[in-house]
Amino acid sequence: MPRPARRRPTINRMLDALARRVGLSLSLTGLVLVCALAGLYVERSVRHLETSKEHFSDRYLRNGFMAMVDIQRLLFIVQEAKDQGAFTPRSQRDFLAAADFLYARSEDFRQALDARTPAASASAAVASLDAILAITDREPPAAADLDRLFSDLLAAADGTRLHLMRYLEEMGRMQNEIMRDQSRAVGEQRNVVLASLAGLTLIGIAALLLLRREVLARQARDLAERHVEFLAYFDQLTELPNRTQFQSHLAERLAAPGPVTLVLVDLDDFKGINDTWGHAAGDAVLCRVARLLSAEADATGGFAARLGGDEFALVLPGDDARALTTTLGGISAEARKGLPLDGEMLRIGLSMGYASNTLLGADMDPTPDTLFRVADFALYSSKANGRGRYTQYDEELERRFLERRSMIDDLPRAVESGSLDVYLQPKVLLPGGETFGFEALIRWNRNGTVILPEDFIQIAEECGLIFEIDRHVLRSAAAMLGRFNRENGTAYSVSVNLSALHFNSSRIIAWVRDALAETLLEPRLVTLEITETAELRDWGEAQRVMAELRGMGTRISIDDFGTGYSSLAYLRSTVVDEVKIDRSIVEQIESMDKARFLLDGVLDIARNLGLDVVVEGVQNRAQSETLCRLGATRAQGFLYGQPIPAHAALDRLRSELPDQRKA
Amino acid sequence: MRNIIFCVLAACLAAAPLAAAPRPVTLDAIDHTAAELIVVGTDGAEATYDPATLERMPTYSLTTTTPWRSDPAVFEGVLLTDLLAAHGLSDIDAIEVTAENDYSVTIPRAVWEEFSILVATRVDGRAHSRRARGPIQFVIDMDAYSASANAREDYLVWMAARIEPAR
Repeated sequence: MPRPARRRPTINRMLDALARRVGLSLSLTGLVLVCALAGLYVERSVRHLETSKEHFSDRYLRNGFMAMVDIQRLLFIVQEAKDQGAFTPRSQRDFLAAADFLYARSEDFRQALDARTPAASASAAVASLDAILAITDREPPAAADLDRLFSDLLAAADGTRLHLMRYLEEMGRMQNEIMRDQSRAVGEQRNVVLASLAGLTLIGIAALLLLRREVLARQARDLAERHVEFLAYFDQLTELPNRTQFQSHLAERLAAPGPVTLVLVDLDDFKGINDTWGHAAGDAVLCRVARLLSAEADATGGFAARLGGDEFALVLPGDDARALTTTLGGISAEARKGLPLDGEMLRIGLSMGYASNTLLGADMDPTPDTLFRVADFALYSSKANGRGRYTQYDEELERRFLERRSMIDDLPRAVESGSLDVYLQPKVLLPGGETFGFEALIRWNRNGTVILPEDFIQIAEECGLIFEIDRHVLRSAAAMLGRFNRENGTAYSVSVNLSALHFNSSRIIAWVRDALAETLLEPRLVTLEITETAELRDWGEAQRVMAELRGMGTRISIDDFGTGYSSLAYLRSTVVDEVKIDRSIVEQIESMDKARFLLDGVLDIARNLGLDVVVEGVQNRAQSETLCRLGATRAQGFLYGQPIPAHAALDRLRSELPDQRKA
Repeated sequence: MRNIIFCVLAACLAAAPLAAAPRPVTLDAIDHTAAELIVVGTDGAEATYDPATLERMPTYSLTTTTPWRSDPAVFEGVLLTDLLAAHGLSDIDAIEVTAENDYSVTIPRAVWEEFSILVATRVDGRAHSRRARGPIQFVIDMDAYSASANAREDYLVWMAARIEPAR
């Protein structure tokens, strides 16, 4: 079922649209357009106002009032003269001056007319002013008939007043209009300013919010990036650099001049700690070790890393053996002090191996990989020698390392070229010592030297060649015995050692079946010997595989019984047909009563459980006799025959056949 | 570059007197329109001038238009600053000028210090008449007038009759 796509917030989609070239162009154009419109709007109202104002000046309005005042003054002067019966020289002068004022006033009106301002009423006013002036200028005041002058002036003034009133009203209207225009223009400007402020505020708020968003997003991104970087280069639990960073750091250190020492550290029995104390305790132990190592790295200018699991690495400057011994001894001692846990001290054992680039042999290329391998070899040596110690990679280790490396190089070729030979050692019946079968053993003929399995089987297991080798032995041995039995009408059995590694998967079942089918050896004559080791932890799974193998008719044998991991539990297992008593017990059978009692007990138990018991390592007749007395029925050892090449063993057997038949 | 600056400076220096300053001039006696200009000193003392007595002070000529004249005319008369100085009015904050028709205006000192105000008594060589906004008219060079934000038509008093310290 498809999951519904998570809806992106609208604002994000809007911003995405805005960020596109088209979106940006459009919004910028819109912004410019709005600004231009607002500007045009203001410009239009201001221009309208200016146009109105061009046609109006407050001087025009003032002219009207002043004209009234001037006419009034003129009338007053004439009336005063009329009352006194004649013009005095002074009132004559005042009369002429008043007429001059009126003249100047009519000039102003004429100018207003020129400017084409309220033409109709202004021209009427001018005409009536001119009419008054015509009366005043008619004759010198001294010669004037005062009554006539007064009545003429009064009549003319009456008409003029009417025209002036109209003129003034029109001017008042114009003034009001201008006031209105002004108010409107101011109002419009206010609207534009308010709208602009509101717009700017909105844009500002939006910009600030977006800025905050961006900053928060960037911070989150940075944090995530730092986290990712941390995950990529650091171990989350211990916060030490991880393997990736370790590798590049080691490469850098080796590229720089000067001695460098690589210390590899393994926790002893980490699995045990986890199993016994729980994973939280395991984590605490890892963190404790990480702290110890990083403290050391900080103090010496070194570099500590967790390589994974319970593996750590410490890269230290210098190669002074004494100083390194002190350092590693200190770390080891500190770890051994332990970690308080549930009121107890959990002691931590560390195995370490270290190697300096200056101590590598001449034919060793000081690459990070080489240094790592040799340090690992030193670590391996520490673990093999009993753990809880530190081992320096030195000449002796290097010799062993190179030998081991050359074996690793040669072994695949040996498998291919057939230089792995199958030897057979007889297994006999007691007390007579008749051969009833053989144990097939592998020998590596390496450049003329015969190498025993204990020297290379582990390597084979490590590099995965053990499958090839075991199959080779099984097929060869089964084929030879099958052929021999058919040719001679006998029923000799053969035992083949199988690595414990095979029992962790079902793969072995198929190739055992194939091998048996090819060789025509009866399955009941094939015994598969298994040595219990650390690798065979999953006993349940191993038992399942064994049961299936047994179902095909083969027999299952527990090898090296009485040493290592083997236990009495195997004796009651339903899938086992045979146990082989380890040679170490037979060696002590003459000298120690305990060994004898032990063997007696095991034989007794096995007999009661219906198991065959084969005693290994019988070297002399005395041991043989003791075994017979104890009731052992099957044995193997130099007394009855050493492992020899298969064809030789079979030849010898063939030569002995008639005797056996006779017997 | 230096030449250009020099030329610009020279042009400014040459243009400035033409634009604003009335030129000193010697006038022959003529018949004036009858008029009186009373100047009141800071102490309250009144002095009465007619156009002829005014012209006893240094006389100047100024060719300019006025708000009421579209064609330039040659105005002649005395400087307001000289007149005020003669009565100790140079340093007061403002004067009040009254016209024959009772019009009055207050002129602050900044105005007469910024503009050279000519108290004109003649136009185009003839006596100034009332009908031509005489006989005593305050005139400012129209270019300077137009160029300044402080100039107002109110200051261009015609038929001036009285000058006294503003109250």
